[in-house]
Formats: sequence, structure tokens, C-alpha cells
Amino acid sequence: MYTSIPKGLTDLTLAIEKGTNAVISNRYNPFYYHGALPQFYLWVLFLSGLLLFAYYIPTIDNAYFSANLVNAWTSVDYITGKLPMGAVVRGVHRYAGDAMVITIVLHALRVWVTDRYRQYRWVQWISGIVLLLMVLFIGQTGYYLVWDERSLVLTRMTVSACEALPIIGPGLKAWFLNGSAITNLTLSNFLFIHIGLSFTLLFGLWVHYVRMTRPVITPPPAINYMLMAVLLLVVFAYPITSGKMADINSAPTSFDIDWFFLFPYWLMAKVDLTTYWVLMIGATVGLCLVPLPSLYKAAAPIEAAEVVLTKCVGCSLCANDCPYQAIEMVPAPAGSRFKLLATVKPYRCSGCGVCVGACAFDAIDLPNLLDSDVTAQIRAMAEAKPN
Amino acid sequence: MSEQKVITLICERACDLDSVCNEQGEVKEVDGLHVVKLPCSGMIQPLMIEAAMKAGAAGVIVTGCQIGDCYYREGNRMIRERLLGQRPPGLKKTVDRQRVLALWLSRPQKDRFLSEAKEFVAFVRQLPAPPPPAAKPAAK
Amino acid sequence: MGKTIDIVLVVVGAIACLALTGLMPWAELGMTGAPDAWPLWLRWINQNLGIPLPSYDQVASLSTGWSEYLKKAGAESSFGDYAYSLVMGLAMVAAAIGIAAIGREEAEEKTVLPVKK
Repeated sequence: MYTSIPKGLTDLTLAIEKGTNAVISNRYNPFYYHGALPQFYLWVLFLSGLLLFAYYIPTIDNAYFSANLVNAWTSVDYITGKLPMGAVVRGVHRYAGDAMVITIVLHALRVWVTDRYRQYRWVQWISGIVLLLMVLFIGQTGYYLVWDERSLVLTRMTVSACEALPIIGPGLKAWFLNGSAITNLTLSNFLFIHIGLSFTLLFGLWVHYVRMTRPVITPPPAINYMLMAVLLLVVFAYPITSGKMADINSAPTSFDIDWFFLFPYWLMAKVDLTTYWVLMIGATVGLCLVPLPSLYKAAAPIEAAEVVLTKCVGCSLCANDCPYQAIEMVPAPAGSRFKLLATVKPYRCSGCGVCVGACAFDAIDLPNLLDSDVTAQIRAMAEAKPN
Repeated sequence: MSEQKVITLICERACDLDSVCNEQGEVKEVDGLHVVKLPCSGMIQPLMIEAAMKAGAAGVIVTGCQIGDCYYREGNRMIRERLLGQRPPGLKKTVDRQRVLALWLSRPQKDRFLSEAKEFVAFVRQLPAPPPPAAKPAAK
Repeated sequence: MGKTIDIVLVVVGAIACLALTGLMPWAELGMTGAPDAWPLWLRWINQNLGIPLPSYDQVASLSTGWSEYLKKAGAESSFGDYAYSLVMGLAMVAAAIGIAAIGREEAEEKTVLPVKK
């Protein structure tokens, strides 16, 4: 238990959570909804994004900066300056993205600190990394879409990074630009990636949740109000500003950086492209390896629960209570007095014993801790003569 | 009656009692308070509590992590609901509810456990003796 | 003890939320309560049915301060929208405090089973 994590760190987290419980009670403790926080921001992003999508025009025309120009930048400018509440919706969309990254990182940190990321949870850890990468890339495409000078620099940097990759480089570049150069089609592609990948997140989240019984994906209303309020206050405190409209013939070199999404570009500017890719791919693979069993000598192997076939009455209580969907009720073999029979999927089982507690018939057991042994131990303790 | 045992069924991730227990799992400071560790408080069967009572224990302390926090997601919430009779299987009617205490304490909360446990042990030991196992329990 | 605090929090949260909600029209009109700023149909109701429009004289000073801040922060226009966002954010904080105070139970570290008769 907790052996792979510095003990002080876990104790500190538990102490902070206990303190939070004392102030706002367990029910509203945001630490207990850490996975639901980014999920809430995802809904905010979908909704505000839908409103922006209604007015966004994915083209790069800049016909010598003529009057009545219609392109991505002017449509964003129109949203921000003219549309009622447009500035607020745009701000909410931007900051909800930042907030989502922050909450995802906090979620991952808590999961790591409390040792809830390995063994039977590896699917959640790996899918979480994939989801984080997707969120980062979606956020970056959002920065290309506004089509100011920063977008132009970012697009060019991405292209050069793609080109640096062997074999797949040219194909990746052509896919990214939707052609061989930056054209109107490029922005259509960005918009498609931005929105299409966002919906793909839902598939990723399905993988992320699929082994969970009753996943906690909705914080209580009071927390939702606070999450939304934070966005609105930040929208006022740091109003969104656009850079200058991008001009394909110019070569802007510097831009303000959003540390939540654009840190890869900061790295790209500091090191050469080979180092960049080695670092990025290395970091991703490294994160994926965190739950590798051989890194934790102390981690006890899990022994999956076993059903006592002669005792199971097929009542489904254990299957209902199993927190990891590891128990499936199957039709009982012919000749049985009961309709159903519990079966354990060992690769999902965490060995927690919640099913043992759920069984009123002693029909399910942890092989390394039989409930009959526990009961015998309890009896022996209770009956022992005082010494 | 002061020698009657009290059994603690505890999640191994809830408050850490290793430092206050001897090798036999008895709390050093409180005479006759024994500790049984389980991987999760959700593993506690109401049957185990009944078995302890039948074997002559004065009371049972159930200890899990802070409600809302469970390494296995929902274990402590489930045993809490079982004790309160909101989730099957529940405690038998014959079990004296006064003799069961549930504590939800995170790992660093050893002192809170000791103070609560002392109070509870003193309380259950002064309760009138339970009817002998053979006798019919009080109706209703 | 805990209950008194909760009741105080609910009342404070509700009053703050209502007061801030009352500021929302003012913000939406561009941080002004001037009669000309109201939409036509409200002005019509005001003139023909005699229903008074709220007065925002007391908060007029906020307008200049907030506008200056927004200008400094780089916002170019629609200061009223930003103000609306701020007021709504504060109202939601107040609402969250009130809701949490209603729904909150004492931090539970101990469950004593109810004794059945």
C-alpha cells in the first residue's frame, strides 16, 4: 500500500483533504471530484465553442487588407468586438481550455500521489495520457484558428517540426496544411481537427471510464457554480486580446505564450528539432511507463476474487457493488437451482474484497484472505482469555 | 466485565495503527482492543460483525478512510450504507446497534482513532450484558 | 453551532446573489442606468404603464473604475459585457456558497448506528 510514493506526500494530500472536509464537508470536497472537474470544463468548451462556431469563418483571405475583408481574423474580431457577449464567450472558451489542462494535471497528480494509477488501473492511466495529448493538440489548433500573427508562427513551426520527422514527415505536413502550402483549405483543416478531435475525446473518455462502475463524472451543483464563476472572473480580469492579423508574406518571429498549451513551441524554439522530438516522444513514453510493474518491487501481485460455485445463488449483489465491473453474471449451468452465476474477470479485479462484503452467502473469496479465516480470527480474538 | 474484547475491523489504508499495536494486533494503550486489517473496509461483511458479537465481543469498531476517499473507489461508502441498512446485505436485527461504531479516518488520524476507541470501549463495557446467545432476543 | 453558521451563510449568499443579479442589467446596458440605454420596449412600458425602471445611481462610480481597468488590461470595447461577466461570476460564487451551506452535512468522521426499538 502506497509503497511507491513518498509517504509524506500522500499523508500531506490526505491531511489537506481531511481539512477540506472539515470546512466544506465531504460532499463538496473538490478533491473527491478531481476527475469530474475537467469533464465539466469539457461541456463548457463544447457549449461556448458551438456559439463561436456559428460566427467563425475559416479562411485566410487578406486581399491586400482591403475594406470589407472577410476571413478568420476578421470573424474573430467581429465576435469579440461587435457581437453581444461575444468577447465573454470567446474568453470563456479560451480560459475553459486552460482550466481543463490545469484540472487534468491536478487529476493526474492526485491519482499518482494516492497510488491509484497502476496494476488493474493501467487502462485509465494510458488512456488518460492519450486524452491529455489530444486536449493539448486541440487547444493548439484553437490558437491557429484565430489567425493572428501568433497563429502564423505556430503553423510554420509545426510544419517545420513535421518535416523534421523521417518517413512520415512529408505526409504529416501535407495532412496538417491540407495541401503543400498555407491556403484557405489549411484553416478548414484546422477547424475540422479542432472540432473533430474534440468529439473524438468522447470516445477516449469512454475508454477512460469503461472499467469503472458508476464513474464520478458530474460534480455537485455548488462546485459547478464555482468552476464557472472562476472562468467568468478571469474573463474580466484578463480580457482576451487578438494579435495583428496574419499576413502570409510577413515573417513574425515572437509571440505571447500560453503556458498551458504552447509550452511545446517554447521548447521547439530553444532546442533543435531532433532534440525536440526525442524529448516529446521520450516524455510521452516515460509517462506511459509509470505504471510498469517492474518499477515497483513492493507492489504485491493481485489475486483475483474467486466465486465458490457451490454457494453462489446468483443474487447479483457482488456484480452491482464491484467498483471495476470485474464481476459478470452469466446464466447458471443446466441443473442449477439458480438462474445466474457470478464470474470474475481476473484482469479487471483489484482484489479489494468489496464483493466479499457484498455477499451474504460466503460465496466469493479473496484467495489470499479467505473470509472464513477472517471470521475465525475475529472469533479467536473475541474469545481469548485476558492475559 | 471490563475484560470483554472489542474488535476493530479496519481498512489497511485508513488510519495507520501499526505503531500502536503489538504483534498480535492488540492496541497497546487500550486493554482488550484487537485490530483485524482488511484490504478495504468494503470487504467487511455484516456476518463478520455478527460473528464477533456471538463470540462474546463487547463491540465492534468499523474503520474506513474518509467518506468520499476510497482507494477502491466506493468501499467505505458501501459498508457505511450496509451498516445503516440502506444497502443489502445489512446487519441482522438481533445485533445491538449500540455496540457498533463506524469511524472514517484517513491514514494520519491515529490519535482521533485512539480517543474515539477509548470512549467507545468504556461505553460498551458498561452496557448491560447481552442476552445469552440461546435466548430469544427482545422482540420488535 | 454548525447550523447557525450554515443559516448565516445561506442568507448572506442569497442576498449577495440577488444584489449582484440586480447589477446584471446595468452591466449589460454598458455599465449605465441612463434611461436612453434601456431597450425600447422597456422604455415603452415605463412611459405608458408607469412601471419605474431601476435606478443605478449608487453604483455609477464603479463604471469608471472598471472601464479604466479593462482599458489598461487591453480590452477594446464591450466593457459592459466584461462587467456582466464579472458580476455574474460574483453572483455565482455567492450562489455556490449558499447552495453548499444548504446541502452541507457535518464532516462525517463517525457514524453511530441508529438504535432500533
